[in-house]
Amino acid sequence: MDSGTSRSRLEAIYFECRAALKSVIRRYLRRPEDVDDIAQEVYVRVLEADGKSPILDPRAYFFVTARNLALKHLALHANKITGQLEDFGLSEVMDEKTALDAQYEVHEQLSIFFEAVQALPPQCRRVLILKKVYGLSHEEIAERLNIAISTANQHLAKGLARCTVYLQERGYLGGTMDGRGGVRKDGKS
Amino acid sequence: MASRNRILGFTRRELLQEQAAAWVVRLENGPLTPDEARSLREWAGRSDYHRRILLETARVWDRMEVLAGLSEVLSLENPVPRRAVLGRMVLPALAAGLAMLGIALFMRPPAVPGTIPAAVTAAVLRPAGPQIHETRIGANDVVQLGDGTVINLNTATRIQVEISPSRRSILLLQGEAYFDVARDEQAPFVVTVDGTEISAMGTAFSVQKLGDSVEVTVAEGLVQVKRDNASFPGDPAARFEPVMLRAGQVAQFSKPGVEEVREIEPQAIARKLLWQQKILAFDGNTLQEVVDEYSRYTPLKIRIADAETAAIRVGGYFRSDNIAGLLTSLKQNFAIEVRQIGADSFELQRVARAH
Repeated sequence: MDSGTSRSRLEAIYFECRAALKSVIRRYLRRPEDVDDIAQEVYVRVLEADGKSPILDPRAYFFVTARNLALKHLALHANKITGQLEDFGLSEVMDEKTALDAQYEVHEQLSIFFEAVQALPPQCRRVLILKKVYGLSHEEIAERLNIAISTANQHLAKGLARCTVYLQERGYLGGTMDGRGGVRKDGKS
Repeated sequence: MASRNRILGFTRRELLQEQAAAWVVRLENGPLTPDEARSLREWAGRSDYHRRILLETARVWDRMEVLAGLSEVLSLENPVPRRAVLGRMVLPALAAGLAMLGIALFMRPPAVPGTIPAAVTAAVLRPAGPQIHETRIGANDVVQLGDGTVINLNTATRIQVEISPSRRSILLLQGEAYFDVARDEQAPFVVTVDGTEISAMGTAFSVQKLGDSVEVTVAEGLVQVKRDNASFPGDPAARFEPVMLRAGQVAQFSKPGVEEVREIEPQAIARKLLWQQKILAFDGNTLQEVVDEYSRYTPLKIRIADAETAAIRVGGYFRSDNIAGLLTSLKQNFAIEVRQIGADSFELQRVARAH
C-alpha cells in the first residue's frame, strides 16, 4: 500500500488550480472572505483524506471537496428569513434543529429539495428555480417570464408552501407539526 | 394573505401553510412596514402552531439555498463555455464504499441551451392542419400550444399535433412526451398511441411509446385510457374497458390490453419525469438498466462485458446529454474500464483495482 500522494505534489496541484477552485466556490458564496476560507479548508481536507487512503485523482478531488464545502457552508449559514424572524422575537421555538439538518448530508438535502421542486406545477417550479437555483430577484423573474411581480410572488409562496408540505409529509422536517394533514399515517417517510 | 372565501375545502394546516409561505416571501422582499410588522406579530401570536409553521416554512426557504448547487447542472441559458478542466468534474457521494454515486453533477456545459423556461421554444399555433414536432436522439424540446398547453418532448420523439375548436389531438408516433394540459371543457385533449387513446382534462401526464406497448404516468389530475376499436378490427381481444388513472399511477398497455396499473411514490414520479431537465435519475438500478436507459439518448453503442459488471448498482443524478461524464464517473467510482471496440461502440468491464 502506498502511503498517499506526496505532500509537495498535492501542494503543487492545489496552487495550480486554486484560482479555478475559487471561481467554483464563488458560484455558491458571495462574500470574498468566505470564498478564501473555503478554498483554504479544501486544502486541509484533501491533506487529511490523503493521509487515510491515497487519492487517485487529486485535481478532481479538490474540486469535489470545494463544491461540497461550499454547499455545506450555504446550508449552515442560510438564515436570512429565520434570522429576521428571530429579530421579531419569534425564536423561542427555534432551538431544536430540523431532522433535515441532523440526518441528511448537504448533497442529500439538495436532492430532497430538488425532488420537492420537481413535484411542483410547471410555472411554480420555474419561478422557484429562477429564485433559488439562480438567485434572480423577483423583478428579474417577473421580467424573464413576462409575468407581474405580484404573480411571481404568489408562485413563490405557493411553491414554498407545497415544498414544505412535501418535506413534512415525508418526515424530512421531523414530527414537530403533526396537525391535520401533517405526518402520514402509513409510516412512510 | 389567502383570501377568506378559499377557506372552505382547505384543511387548517394547508391554510396556515399558505399564509406562512406568503409571509416568508414577503419578508424576502425587504423590510416590513410598521403595519405589516404588527400584522405579522398578531398572526404569529395566535398560537404556537402558527409560529411553528411559520418558522418551519422559513427554515425550508432558507435551506433551499442549497439548490444553488444545481446551477451547474441546469443551465439558465447557454452559458459562456467553461474551462475544460470543469468538463471532467463529478460530485460523487461522500458515502464511499457504498456502490452508490449519490448525486453526481456533471459540469460539462450543456450542448443545447436551456433546460428551463427561458429557453422554451414557443411554437406558434397555426390552426390549419396537423403539425409535426420532433427531436433528434439526445435532444429535448418544448412545444407550447396556443391554448396554454405545454408539451415536453424527450429524446428521439415525434408527435403530430392537430387542434380544432372541438378537439385537441396529439399522435405520439415515437418516443416520449410530457403533457401539461390547459383546461378546456369544449375541446378534449387526446393523445393517441397505436390506437390507445389517453384523454385528459386539465392535467399533467407523460406517455412513452415502448416497443409494442405504451406507458402512461400521471403527475396531476386524472386521465382516461381507452382503445380506439377501429384500430384493431377483427381483434376483439385487443379491446378493453376504459381505465381511469389518477395522479401517482403508472400504467402499461400493450396489444392484448391493460398490462399493469401501479401506484408509485411522488418522489418516484418526480424522478421519472426528470428527463425534462435533461437529467436521468437512478436509484440503485443495475448498470444494465442504466446503460439501456442511456441508449435512448445517444447514438453510441454501449455493451457490458460480463454479468458481474452488469449487476453493479448505480444511483444518482446524471445528465442525459453527457455520457462522457457517466463513463468517467463509472471509471472513478467503480473501477469500470471503458474500451472502445468500434467507431461508435464501447465496452464496459469492471477491473480489479490497481491500488
